[in-house]
Amino acid sequence: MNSSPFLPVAAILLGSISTLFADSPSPATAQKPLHLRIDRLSGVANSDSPTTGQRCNDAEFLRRIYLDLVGVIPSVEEARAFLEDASPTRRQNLVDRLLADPRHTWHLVDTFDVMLNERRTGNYVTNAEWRNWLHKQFEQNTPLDQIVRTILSADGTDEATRPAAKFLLVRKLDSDLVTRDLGRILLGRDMQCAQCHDHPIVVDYLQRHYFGLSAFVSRSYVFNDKKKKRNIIAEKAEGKTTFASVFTNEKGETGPRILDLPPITEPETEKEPYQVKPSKTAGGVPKYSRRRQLSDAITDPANVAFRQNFANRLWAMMLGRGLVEPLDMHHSENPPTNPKLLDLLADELHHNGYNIRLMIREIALSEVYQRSSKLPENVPMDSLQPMAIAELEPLTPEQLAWSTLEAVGMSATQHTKASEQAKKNKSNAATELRKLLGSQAGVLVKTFAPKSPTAGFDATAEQALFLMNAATSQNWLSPRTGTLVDRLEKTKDVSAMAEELFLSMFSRFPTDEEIRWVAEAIENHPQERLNAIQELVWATMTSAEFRLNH
Amino acid sequence: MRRNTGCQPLDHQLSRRSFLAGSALAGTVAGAGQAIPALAGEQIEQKHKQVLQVFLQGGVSQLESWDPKPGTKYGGPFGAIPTSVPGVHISELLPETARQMHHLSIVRSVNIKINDHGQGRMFMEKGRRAGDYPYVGSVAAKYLGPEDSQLPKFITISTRGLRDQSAAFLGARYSQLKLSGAKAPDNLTLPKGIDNSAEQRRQQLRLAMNDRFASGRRKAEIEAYNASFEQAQRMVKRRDVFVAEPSATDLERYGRHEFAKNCVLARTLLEEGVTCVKVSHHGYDTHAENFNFHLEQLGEFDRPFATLLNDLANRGMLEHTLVMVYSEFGRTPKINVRYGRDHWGTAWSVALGGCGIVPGAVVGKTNAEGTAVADREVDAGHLFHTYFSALGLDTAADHDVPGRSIPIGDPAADPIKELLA
Repeated sequence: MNSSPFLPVAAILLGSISTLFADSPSPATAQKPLHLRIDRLSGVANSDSPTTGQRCNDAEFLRRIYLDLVGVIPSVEEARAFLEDASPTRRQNLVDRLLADPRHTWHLVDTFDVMLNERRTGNYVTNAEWRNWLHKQFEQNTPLDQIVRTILSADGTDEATRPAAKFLLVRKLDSDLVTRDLGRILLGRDMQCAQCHDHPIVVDYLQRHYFGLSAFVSRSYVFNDKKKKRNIIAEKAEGKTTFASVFTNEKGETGPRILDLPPITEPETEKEPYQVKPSKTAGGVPKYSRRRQLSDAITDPANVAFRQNFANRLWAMMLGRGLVEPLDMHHSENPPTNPKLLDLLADELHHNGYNIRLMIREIALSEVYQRSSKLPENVPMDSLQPMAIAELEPLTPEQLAWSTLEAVGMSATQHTKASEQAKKNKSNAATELRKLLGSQAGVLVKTFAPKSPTAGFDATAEQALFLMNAATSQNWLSPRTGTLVDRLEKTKDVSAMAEELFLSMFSRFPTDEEIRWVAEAIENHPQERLNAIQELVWATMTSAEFRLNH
Repeated sequence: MRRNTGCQPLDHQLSRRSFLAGSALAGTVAGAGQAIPALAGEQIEQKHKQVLQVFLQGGVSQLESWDPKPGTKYGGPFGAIPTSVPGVHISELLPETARQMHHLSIVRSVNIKINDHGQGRMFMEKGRRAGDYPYVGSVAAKYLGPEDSQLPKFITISTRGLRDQSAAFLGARYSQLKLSGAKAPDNLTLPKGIDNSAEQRRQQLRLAMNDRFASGRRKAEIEAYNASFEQAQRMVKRRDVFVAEPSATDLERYGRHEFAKNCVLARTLLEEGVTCVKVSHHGYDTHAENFNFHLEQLGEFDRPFATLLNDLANRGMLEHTLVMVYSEFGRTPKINVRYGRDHWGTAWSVALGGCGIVPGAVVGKTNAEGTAVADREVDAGHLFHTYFSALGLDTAADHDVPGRSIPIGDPAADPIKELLA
């Protein structure tokens, strides 16, 4: 239809099928689609038993899959279309449609941007450059391990990969910060307590693990290239990584190594160790770079921690909870709730060539993904199987921002303009809508962003006050052409009105009780009908059903 | 951070109490295996432990404050004066504080080995050299404050925006509410066109929606979300606290400048039961003209701080309020060519007092010229343990965070026992 460079999902998926079986030791079992193998291991495939919960209904699936795949709830039209679709393969069709939607690519950008850089801003590469680079990767479905390799090896001198250097640059190459985040974000292991001594409680986290990782990056630094007016990553050729325990006076020295894998074998130091000697005008470029070893070492198949970490993170992204929780506390005393399942996902990620879309698709098609968040009646909680009930997961700030703007009709007010600009810029409407509403979404993201990457559900009074009283949030309730309040005001029939409200906010039809509830709120209101409508929209927008992915 | 939604308020007090070290009551409870009398619970609720942090941003000079060395090589032009504690002298720049010295103690042997503003501040707040740990104020908010307080439990008053994430893994419920001076936070007034009855109606509609949604579902997230609105509504009702002008008497006693007004607000917030109040006084980074600037800054600091301390003592609040006066580091003994003193984490002082702290003590000392710690060297890890030991928290215990084992204080440090009452 337009000249979007986005590949059809079939091509992406088919392209990877050939690699799917490439290294598989046993093709006979591997031929079953992954989602069926997930079902076998999850133990909740059989929906007959009360202990495995219930399958979610179409409306629950609809809202959940939109939030998880495209990062926003469906529009009223999209919701209606799906809820009226009688095809037996409607769920699978929807999954495939959404995986090919431009919004999916943006959702991956949001997710991985936050996962990797944790809302840090500034420092040498702009967020826009970095996010556009990520967008390009996800648009081309670049394998995840390759994305990570580029992120860790880019030094900022090559314009094509410069944005990828943001991961290191935004942390100013601070050795402790980078080391901790390599452990947390790429290996699922928060070893910060092992910085000053072996971890006092987690026996697996040793000081040498911390400093083995640190050795890869501790010689690198940010160099300000005044001629080219940019900051790049430079490196020294010398510098030992030593450590001493503050408890035991034990001392150690380590070369670069990943956890308990053998240390990297290093070449003899040459007489002249530099290609470019570090000076005031030049960043050091050693003949042998420790940092350059990092990207291969971390993504090496021998490093099982890498694929386990990302399998767990993709699972958490979809299910709202990792098989290991917290996501960065993989260790022997905090085992996965389902070790075989984590192994399956991790191995599959490796075998399919780190194809994220394929993994997301298969998880979405599994029965365990399609559980209801409702508890089955008369079944005690502790007799339920793990993962039998869907999590109630707070929307991420980005999901909340775009869903709110969709629900209250702010997105609808910009549709025409977005389509026009898409034609003009040869892009797509979703991308243009993001530009048009970017600053409004930004206010929401800023208000709802957790203050720390390791905090749980951060529901604060300041956020509630924003929804209650801020000029921005009240503006969404004004009866401008196209907003939800406007549409409701123009709807005479009260059940049609209730339907429009519930489809906009919750992507479902109201129950009879809820239609009566809306009718009463309108009829019993002491003032104008408009005030009643605004109060209803506000109450649904601030309700738990809207705030949570369920 | 999630409340155990099944239990009664008294259970919360008990579970909080299980963190309290060395409490006679805690021993009784453990021994007898029965609930404490309701009366004791009420008393605790009425007088829960509180913290007042006074942060001198930029790094106050120890030589011009708590550890003067008049007549020595680096002593500078100012003298030392006697205080209300016999034998303890402080800088002549703090005459009012000197009269309140019997409420305070000084640690003169702090060596944090950091000379960077950001890192020094983090170490002093977190008690850890590096990493994602909660600040003193957030730890206090989490473990000392009553669950249902009217106002946020950790409020900072500062006129400069410093980027910081105070609560770390404890979650935003325990993070600081930042006030820029004596002004109300944003969004505390209802929007135009929404009166109290409209506000009530829309909140009731919201709760009705939530009740239907919660039926047959897990409750923790729904309740956490509801709680944020309850807290918001309480704050709207208490807007007066933030905007009240100090009385004429208080203006007379504290002074009329910004820091003075912030100190009056701090007292009000502590009286309102806020668990931790932090007031910052800016402008101590005196790389040039150190002496003129300290004359000015401490001249502004002295009276409001001393008045606040005296008020807390007279109102009986000091018994359950820990007071700490600190910076991110001290200043170099060596005076540079611009008559300035530079960053100096190597040998400097902090003052603390109130709840659980021995009054009138001096711990540690620097050498004759103030260039190194001569006795009882401590760092911010020891101080962190000391604050919370004084407040009755077992700092060797783990944080109450699911799935993680994180000791409250750095296991490599311990409290300064001489300071614990």
